[in-house]
Amino acid sequence: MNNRVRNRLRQIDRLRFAVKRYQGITIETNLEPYNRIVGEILNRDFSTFSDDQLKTVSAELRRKALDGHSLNLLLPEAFGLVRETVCRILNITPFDEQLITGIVLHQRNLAQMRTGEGKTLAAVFPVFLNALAGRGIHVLTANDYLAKRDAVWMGEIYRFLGLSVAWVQEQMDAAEKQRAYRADITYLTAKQAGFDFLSDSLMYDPESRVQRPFHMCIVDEADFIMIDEARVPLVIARETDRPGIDPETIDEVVRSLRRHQHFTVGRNNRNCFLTLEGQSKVQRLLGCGGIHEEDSIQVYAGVNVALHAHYLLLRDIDYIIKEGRIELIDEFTGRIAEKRRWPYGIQTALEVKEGLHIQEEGQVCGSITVQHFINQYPNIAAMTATAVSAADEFKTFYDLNTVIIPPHAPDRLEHLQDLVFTTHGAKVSAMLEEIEGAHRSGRPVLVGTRSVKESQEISELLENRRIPHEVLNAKNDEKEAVLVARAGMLEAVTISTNMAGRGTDIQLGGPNGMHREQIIDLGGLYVIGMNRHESVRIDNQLRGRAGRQGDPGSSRFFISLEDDLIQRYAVTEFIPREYLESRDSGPIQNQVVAREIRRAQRIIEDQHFQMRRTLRRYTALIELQRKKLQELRDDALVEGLLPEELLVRCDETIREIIGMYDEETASNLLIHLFVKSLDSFWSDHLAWADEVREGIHLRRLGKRDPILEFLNDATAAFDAGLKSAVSRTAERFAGVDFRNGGIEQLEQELSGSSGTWTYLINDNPFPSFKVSLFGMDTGTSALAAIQLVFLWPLYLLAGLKKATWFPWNRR
Amino acid sequence: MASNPLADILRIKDLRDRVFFTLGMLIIFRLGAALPIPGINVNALKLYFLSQAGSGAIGITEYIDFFAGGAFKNFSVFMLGIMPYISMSIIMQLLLLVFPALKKISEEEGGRKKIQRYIRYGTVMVCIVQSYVVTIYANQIPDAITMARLPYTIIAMITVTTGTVFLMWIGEQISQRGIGNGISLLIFAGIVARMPNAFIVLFRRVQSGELNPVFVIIVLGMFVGVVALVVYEQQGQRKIPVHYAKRVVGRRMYGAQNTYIPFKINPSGVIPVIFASAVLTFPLQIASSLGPEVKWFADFSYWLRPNGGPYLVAYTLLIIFFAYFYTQISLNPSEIAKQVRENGGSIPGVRSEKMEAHLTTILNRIVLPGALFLALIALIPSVVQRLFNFPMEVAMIMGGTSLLIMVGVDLDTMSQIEGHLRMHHHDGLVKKGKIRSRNL
Repeated sequence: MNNRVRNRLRQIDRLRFAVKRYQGITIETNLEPYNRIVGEILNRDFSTFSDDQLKTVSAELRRKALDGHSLNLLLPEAFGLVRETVCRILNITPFDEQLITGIVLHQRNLAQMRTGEGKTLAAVFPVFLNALAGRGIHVLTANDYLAKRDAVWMGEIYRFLGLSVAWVQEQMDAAEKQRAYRADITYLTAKQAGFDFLSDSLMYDPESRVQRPFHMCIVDEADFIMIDEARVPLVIARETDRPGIDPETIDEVVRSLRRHQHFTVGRNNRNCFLTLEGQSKVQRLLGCGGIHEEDSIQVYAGVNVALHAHYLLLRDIDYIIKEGRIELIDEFTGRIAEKRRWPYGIQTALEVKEGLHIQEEGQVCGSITVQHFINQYPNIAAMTATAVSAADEFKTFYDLNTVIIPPHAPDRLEHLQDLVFTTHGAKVSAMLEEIEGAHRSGRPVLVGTRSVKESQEISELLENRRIPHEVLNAKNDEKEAVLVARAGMLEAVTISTNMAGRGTDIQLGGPNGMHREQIIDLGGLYVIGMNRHESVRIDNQLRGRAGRQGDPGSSRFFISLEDDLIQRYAVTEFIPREYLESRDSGPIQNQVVAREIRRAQRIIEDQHFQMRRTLRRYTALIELQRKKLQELRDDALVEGLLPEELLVRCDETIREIIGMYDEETASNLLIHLFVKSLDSFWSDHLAWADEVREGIHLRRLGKRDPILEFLNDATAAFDAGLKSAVSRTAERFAGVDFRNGGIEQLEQELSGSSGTWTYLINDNPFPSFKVSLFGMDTGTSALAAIQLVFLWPLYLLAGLKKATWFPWNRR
Repeated sequence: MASNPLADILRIKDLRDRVFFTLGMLIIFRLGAALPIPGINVNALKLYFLSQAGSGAIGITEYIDFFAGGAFKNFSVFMLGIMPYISMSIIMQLLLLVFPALKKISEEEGGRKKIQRYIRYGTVMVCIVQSYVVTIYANQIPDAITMARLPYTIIAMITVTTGTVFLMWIGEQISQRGIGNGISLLIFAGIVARMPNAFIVLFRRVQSGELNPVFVIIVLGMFVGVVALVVYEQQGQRKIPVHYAKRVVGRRMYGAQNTYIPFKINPSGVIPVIFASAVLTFPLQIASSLGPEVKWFADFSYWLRPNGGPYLVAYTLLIIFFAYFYTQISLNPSEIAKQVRENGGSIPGVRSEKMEAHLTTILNRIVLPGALFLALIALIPSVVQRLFNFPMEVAMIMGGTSLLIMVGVDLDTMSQIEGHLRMHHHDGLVKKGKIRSRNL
């Protein structure tokens, strides 16, 4: 190929990229520009430098960064320096792929890097570079354990180069946290950062805030934190009056209700509701009014919530009971979702159902979704092993482009064809055969199950066959480290929930590499999935446990047509009848089945995406209002600025107080009163917005866009709320009996704020129904109408095709 | 919002960009609508349509021309308007209804995009067919074609198809990057573009003494009133409060009732009007152009001629009928009641089992005045034409379909702009001061 042809090809390539970008395709696989920078980094050879010289270089870099030199220009030197330091301190030489990941992260992108390729180390490069200017950088991890581990592990490198490192843990006190946030580099979970952000936002004294203004974050396990968890609102709550209903009595009544007769469980097991008969029974037993009567609405809410707790939430699938408490299980990780609760009284109903002590719920006084929280950082970079299928979402929500980093060693992981069975029994026995076979040969096996319950079921069956194995699920998570260490050993069989997915590093032969060669000859780790998950990314996480760093390994999924996923989304409709009816124990040899299952996954993923997008559009406005409120608060507390209207209204009282005390007292008192009524307004506003959002879909019946309607109503409510906060402050201020010690009393009242606590709200448990009506806009409906004059026979035909009485449809 | 919304639109960059983008796209549309396809004798067309206009019929060509924003009668590159796109959307909707496999595809990740792509491909097909029909039509018009039949057919089909696809693209771009719904705005722009010409015609008639200027002023004054009425009617709604018993909350706020079903006074919009006039005119027109001359049929056609007495009566009745019919299928009380009930909802003061009856009663009460009003608006053009002898071009704009569409699209677009403004603007408490600075 001569040069001219090559140039031509390159031009075409460039054009293709431009087109791609225009179309909004956000996945980058061309690493050529990165390789050039890597070349520059490798040119900076620091191997001859002494330790002290390295430190001098680092200090010099730091000075340049503080002077405002462009970090992009400092990159080759900084990365080269870190590379040499890593060689010296950790005794490993970073791969070029890790350097590329580092550059990708520095450029505020999302890096997709295979499991076991060393993401933690790769992140050190951009973290160092971006921490130089001293504005703080947060590395957001998936859990507290990882935050501490990574901070300790990588800390040596940073400290050697003269930067301070710290980590934040949940149980730390404010002073410790404040110190940790002041460090150049802070490792912590996204949740913790969000919770601290919320409690800072409620502080009266700006000095007691623990966080500094955000500069940059690097998110590890990005798809989990930024997508799966993104819709979860972080919440800070305060004590409040108990709802005026008795959950125990309601629980008794709900237990006496019968399915179908008194209540119905809706499609997809997503909601349940009372029938008319059920309503009258509740009315009789509880002696309350009908559901249409204002006073009894709370009672019915209690009943509905209890029904939800009894029939939609299942023990050992949705939650477990540990140490007398309900612990939610995260559907994506299979782990206990710490500090997470169901909202609106469901948690209480569940506690009553299980006969446990009732925990306080409280009134929400501040809230932010993980997604909006992460967007508080002006600079965001992220990394994960499974990003590609969500690349569009990363672009829309966080403006991140995805770059795929090739594995350092060639991939030797083998994905075996899914095996599909008609019945659950057939699937399980085939799976047990497969486990037994692999186990007898000595090959380590990891079985991924969907729930705690399922893991226990398989464990029992293996017990019967006398196959030694270990079980890893949310109930024994304290043994996780030990079990994972053993999972790669010869003859090991490990049953796990999704816990052995993300972040789990299974080394062949265990940490010491016993019989490693033998295991490799046997084909490495064998991952068996007992179910397909709702998201392909989770399937891939499970698969990714095998084939670590170029090791061999294989994975296979066993599926039955009775699986939850397939039943719930009615995949069976599209599977040829003969397979559904056959009771064969062998696998179905038909590609249609496997294809339909994959399609079902894509459909579910799309639904989730749509849901997240809709949620985002609703929360965007509330987030704007939160910022506005924060501004008002900061103006008052930091600058001492108050709304003119308030000052005018309080003028007289201010003069009187100044006459008796001083200006400072008057000012502080008014500021604190104002901030307090702002906070109380905000708390009400959040509750109000929640309630309105639930019923806003009804507006579609009037051909109005629910999101615009929400925007209208929420803006009006916010403006009115602020005005009334001003009036309430003024009235309160005027009513202070300051001649008789009223000021001291008020000051005491303001300082003694009631305790707050933080938690996460589980995903909105109530699906909002779809109204699929003629939601067309004026012009389109006009055009459609004129065409319908001609096209109506087609509609008639379509109707006939559906009608059961029509002879065509009878076979 | 105290400040001037227009100034706000210009101040907020995102919104300003969107508005200007939309305007730019609409200008391109208007330019294309004036650009005839090659090989067409525009003067011959004018003569032909002028001779046709004498009959006063609002036929199929009139309708196509109306929705193409006047691009049809001068055989411009956009002569088909976005009709083919809508046809294909309707056909696709039907296909989705009939073929479950296709429906599955539409629900997958990226499925909507895929269906959208099929619709575009389908639109090209529809365009090819329709543009062929159009060339046949052009062939009937004396002296309209200035080149040989075959090359003309090919050139016309290519230009019209490309033009339509381009127009479809413009519409999508407006929806995406501009403001408002692209398709609605294209139709809107087409109607608005008729206004200057209408006023010129009006002015000439007054000048030549055919029209009494006093009448013109009265009618124009009425026109303003009618617009206000239409706006009022489009905005009008009856709120039926709904309570959901789904959450147990410690302290309940009893603020404004924000959960309600809004029943519009006129839930069916412009649809009944279009339906009624199309049903009255199209079948007759098609039958008479296809079949041989039959005496009784010709008599019947004349009896039911547009703007004639029998026509107006039938027109009114049909509008009312379609308004009821459409409301019935789009707002089914038992469907609504079922969904509210299944979500733990109730209407305060209405027993749960009476919900359907309650909704039905309310709907019936709303729809009759709404339908009558609709019929009234629809009759304005005929009335103005017959009583005041106004030219048709002017009368058309003053009521009926044009007015309803213009107001409807305008309100839709405005509420979108308002939404944008809201996202950028909270007045609340703006001015701030310190205690210190005030009292020192």
